[in-house]
Amino acid sequence: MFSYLDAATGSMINTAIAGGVAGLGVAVKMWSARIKSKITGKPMPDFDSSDEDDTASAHD
Amino acid sequence: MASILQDPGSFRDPLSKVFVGDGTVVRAFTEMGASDIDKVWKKKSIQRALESGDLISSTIVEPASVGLGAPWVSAMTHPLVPFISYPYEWTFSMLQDAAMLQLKITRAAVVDGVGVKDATPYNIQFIGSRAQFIDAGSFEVRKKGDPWYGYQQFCEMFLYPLMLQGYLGVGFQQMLRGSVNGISIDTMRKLLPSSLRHPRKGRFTHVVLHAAAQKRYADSNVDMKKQAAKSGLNAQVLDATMKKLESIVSSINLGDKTSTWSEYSERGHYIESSLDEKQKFVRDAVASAPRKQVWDIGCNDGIFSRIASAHSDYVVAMDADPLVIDRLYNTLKAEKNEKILPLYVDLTDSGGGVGWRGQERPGIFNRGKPDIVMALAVIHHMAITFHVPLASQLDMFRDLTPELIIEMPHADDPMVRKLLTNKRDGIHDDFNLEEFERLLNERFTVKSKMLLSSGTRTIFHAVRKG
Repeated sequence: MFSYLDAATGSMINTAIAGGVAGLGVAVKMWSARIKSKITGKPMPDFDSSDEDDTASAHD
Repeated sequence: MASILQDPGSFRDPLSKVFVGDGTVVRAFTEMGASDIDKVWKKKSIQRALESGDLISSTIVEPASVGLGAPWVSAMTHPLVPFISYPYEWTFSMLQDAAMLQLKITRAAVVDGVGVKDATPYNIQFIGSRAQFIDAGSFEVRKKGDPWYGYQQFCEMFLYPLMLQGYLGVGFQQMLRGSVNGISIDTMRKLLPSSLRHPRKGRFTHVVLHAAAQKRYADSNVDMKKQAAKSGLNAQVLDATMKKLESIVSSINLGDKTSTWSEYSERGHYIESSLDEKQKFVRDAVASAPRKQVWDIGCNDGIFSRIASAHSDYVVAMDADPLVIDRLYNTLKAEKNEKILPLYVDLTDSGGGVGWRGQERPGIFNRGKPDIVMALAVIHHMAITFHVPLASQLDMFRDLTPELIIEMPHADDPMVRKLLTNKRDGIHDDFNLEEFERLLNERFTVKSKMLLSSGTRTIFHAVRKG
């Protein structure tokens, strides 16, 4: 339901960077959204998280 | 069931707590925690971890059956870990194996739709030489786009300590003992320089970039979690990140290969028969009664721990030299030995309780009750090198254990003479057999003693008075 540790912004971006090819595009998107939000002063668009998972099927 | 008490180290997770008592461990869940664990407990990743023993054996029970009421709506019981140890008592190889287990469990979980709440070595224990994940309450439903909440914690408590030892040759134990939260990103950034001659795998990404990102976004009040999900930070990306971390962790090697005691044993001073008779004396003393737990202080390569292990349930083998313990750990691990727990402990500086109120992680003297303690070839080091008087050492043993096997080198023993070489004349004149026996007899009743054939050491088996 919820983890008790904070997911710090810097660490979140870094987990994506550390994922190499798989995560680099994600990191760039996160970083650019952060910059865009700062320049425009608008909040970042909402994201509807759900219990639906996004897991890979490779590991069963 | 007899009353159980909340473990003082279990308070950070609001959804579950650990209770200990009556020879068992109970993990209790609030309604919210129970809802979460119910959804993930049957998942393949968790069931496989249970089957392999990577995750501690867990039996789901009614809270009332273990004496718990509201707010606990669900509970599970676990077997007692024979002796709780902490990462600052582990060696490099032990922390490395613990890190690999953390990554293995987290990777398997995340691709199975299960989140792991944290990544702390305090959630891992060693059963002898086997690492086991003991925090069954760490699992939760992983929502779409959830980040890896434990990434920063993994860096600070596993990766950076391993880098400190492997890349700089600096032991991590004192830093982990100094802070239950590990080595901060900022501290590691300052400690670990780049090196062209010795490339430091993982430094740029997990230290330099991580520190820069933390600093850059420290004042962020943006809900980055939502944006991370929208940007595609999914299970596959996190799995790739952890796979790369596995590669980094497994590639870090222990730096220094020699230490004061790693190439040397006091047994070099013994003629062969002295060692044989000492082994027989120890065997007879340990085997004279059933033993649940034996402590071997100053265990070196573990030869006497092995003898004790044959006549007891569990041996905690301690030495003040981390390299000696690292070798012992790797030997025991190769044998799949689960009865001898090797720990890096310097009894002259073992530390008290640390963390919240000094009770979160109790000191070593508050974590176990040995039936018998072995102190072989060790008290002269504590007395002469570290200036702990014999009387104070024997007070400690009296408080710690009902039975003691202790070796007293005489004033003319070669090692004693060596230790005294650069000491001021006269300050250790009371380090002699006669004074030792007087002090021992005040506190213990000697059951048997033997002058070793080297002629310069006497070994005692003694029982606490009163």
